[in-house]
Amino acid sequence: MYIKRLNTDLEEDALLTMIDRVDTIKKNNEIHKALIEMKDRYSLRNAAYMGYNMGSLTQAEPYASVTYSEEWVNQYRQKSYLDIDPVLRAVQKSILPIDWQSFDISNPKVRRFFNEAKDAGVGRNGISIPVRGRNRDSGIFSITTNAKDADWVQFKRQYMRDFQVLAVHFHQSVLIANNVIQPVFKLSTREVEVLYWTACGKTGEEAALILGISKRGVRFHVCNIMHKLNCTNVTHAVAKALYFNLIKPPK
Amino acid sequence: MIFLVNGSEKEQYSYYINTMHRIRAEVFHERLQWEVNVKNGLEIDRFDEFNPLYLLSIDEETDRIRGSARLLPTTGPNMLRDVFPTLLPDNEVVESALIWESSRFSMEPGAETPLPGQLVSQVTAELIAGICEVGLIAGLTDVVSVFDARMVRIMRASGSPATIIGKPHRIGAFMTYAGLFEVSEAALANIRSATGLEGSVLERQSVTRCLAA
Repeated sequence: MYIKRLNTDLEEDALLTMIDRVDTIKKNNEIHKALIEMKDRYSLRNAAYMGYNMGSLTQAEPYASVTYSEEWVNQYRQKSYLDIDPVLRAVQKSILPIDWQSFDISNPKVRRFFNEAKDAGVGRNGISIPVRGRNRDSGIFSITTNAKDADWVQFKRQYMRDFQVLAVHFHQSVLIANNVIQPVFKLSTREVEVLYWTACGKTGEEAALILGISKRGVRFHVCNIMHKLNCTNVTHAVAKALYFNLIKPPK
Repeated sequence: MIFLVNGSEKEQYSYYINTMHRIRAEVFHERLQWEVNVKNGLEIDRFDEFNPLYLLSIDEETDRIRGSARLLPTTGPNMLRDVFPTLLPDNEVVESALIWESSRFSMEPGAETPLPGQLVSQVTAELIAGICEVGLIAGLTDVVSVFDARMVRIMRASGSPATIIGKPHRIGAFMTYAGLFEVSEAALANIRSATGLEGSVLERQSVTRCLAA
């Protein structure tokens, strides 16, 4: 994915590393591990993901994976905060990311909720990002830090894009890890042609001759294919493409 | 001035929202003759149900809506993927956390006419700057849109030239394009210097309200 980055203090590849981690999640328990890894890489106080409208997965209650303390999770459940949490209500109403500072704390209920959250170590500052999926599924991705207000403004400027991107990747991985959707691989016509001739046993040079493109062009497409299919070599890509019916079987 | 309204708040702001749908009917049905559904003089489509974010250009003196645009994330249902997929080469999609789609960019008759010495009208300038400002709040890199040649010229005149992606197609009487618009501080500065806008066009209270609805 193409992402313009602002200056960053973190190691340059924090986002790319996290995307790879999240995209290769296969089991549900890895979601929580990935949230913790992200929390550490970005020096966050906490991270949380909640999913809605995901078929049977969210029939009883929303899907949730959070790094909050057990204390806060228990308190949240006992007091049925799911019903009054102003963040959840706001995020479901809008497509804009929401800074927790923008809530009106002159409302005593809201103030008490945020004070209790702060006491339970949720974090000094937080932002929640709405995710909209294709099938009316939706998600809420939140991160918190203990940064002072001035640093928080700077932090948001630097990393808003990272978290927007990661929010969607987490959402997708929750759907896939819980078999709500099957992973979708889409190849362009040219990529299908290149992979088909490779599956037929043609070398890159031969495939280039057959398709009337350069050897470099073939290599370019093969790289894209491996990236799209999340494969480490061509054999793996051919096997996966055949399994998912992306190419017809070679003659 | 740009007033933000979430789709989920349409009951609360029904007067504004209805005016928007009426202007959309005048523009897309009567003037451009697109195949859109109009009921009781209001143009409403299925994407209005997916809780978009509306940008409404309001005349501060009369409190009247003069034009609007609609934003939807490209990760969810959107027009380019669900209505105009032919505009992109096969199997290519625009689906990114950092790209939202702008659609139904429109304004009432007359609101398009620039003041003497200006390249674009006040309403046009506000909507385009407003989209860029909202994009910055959300951390977007680009806004994608489907539009005709007239919009290409308007965008260029507004200091926000489109990067055409995919192939233009004839839809109805018009050539239709898919284009990307950059979202950045520099892009916003270009829009401001091309249109003469100074400072934010977003109505502050509506921003606060949308950020903590």
